[in-house]
Amino acid sequence: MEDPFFNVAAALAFIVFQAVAVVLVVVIRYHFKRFAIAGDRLAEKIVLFMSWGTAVFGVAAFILLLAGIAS
Amino acid sequence: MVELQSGEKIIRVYRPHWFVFFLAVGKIAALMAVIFAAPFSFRAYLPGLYSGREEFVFMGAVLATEILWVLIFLTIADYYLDIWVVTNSRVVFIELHGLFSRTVSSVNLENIQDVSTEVRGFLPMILRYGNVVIQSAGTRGQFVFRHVPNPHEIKDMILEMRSAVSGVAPLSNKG
Repeated sequence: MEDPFFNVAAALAFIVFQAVAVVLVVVIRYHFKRFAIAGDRLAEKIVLFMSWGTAVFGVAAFILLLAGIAS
Repeated sequence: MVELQSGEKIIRVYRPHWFVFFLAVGKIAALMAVIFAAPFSFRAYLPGLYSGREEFVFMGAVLATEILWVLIFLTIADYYLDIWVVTNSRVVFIELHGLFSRTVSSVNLENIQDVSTEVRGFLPMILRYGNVVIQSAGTRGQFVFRHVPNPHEIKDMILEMRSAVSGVAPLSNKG
């Protein structure tokens, strides 16, 4: 793509969305750590699964961002 | 979580009914599926629509899906961490309000004045969930646990435990 506007806009959108997602995940993880019953294995698995899921979405978006800038 | 006093034992932990959780997550998951599938559908039926910005469109869809994924995480936290803990001496209420607000309160069994239940609607009646309202003699007054499974059984159990602790006969065993 020749127009740099789209590259900058996409990069900014990526940064903003990632920042929001990371802050939300950190806060929710805090809630689980603070209020889940100690030793609750299911709560640990839920937190792990949802955190990794968020990371996977983030990596996928980053790869698409790079591909968009490179094309 | 709950700091138990000496000699205190957890009898039961209650969470809202699974159907309420399923409805909340289902709505977000459906929206996720639509947003994720939309770019693929547009590409299939309107070729050339993105005109070389295909990757950015897909990135937007993935980012929106990611935020909805996090909202599902929040819904799970809201469901999983909103609990009633019934111990042999009190009932503890832990409720998450939004992202940055949490209420933890408790009422001693001997301070419970009345327990009532509300089951309203077709699905709550079929699936047996509803609200349990505890009227206490404390400053807060009323505690409501919403969408709890088997509200009548919970009411009976709390009344029985209250009568065992205070030596007062159960107030009522009817709905």
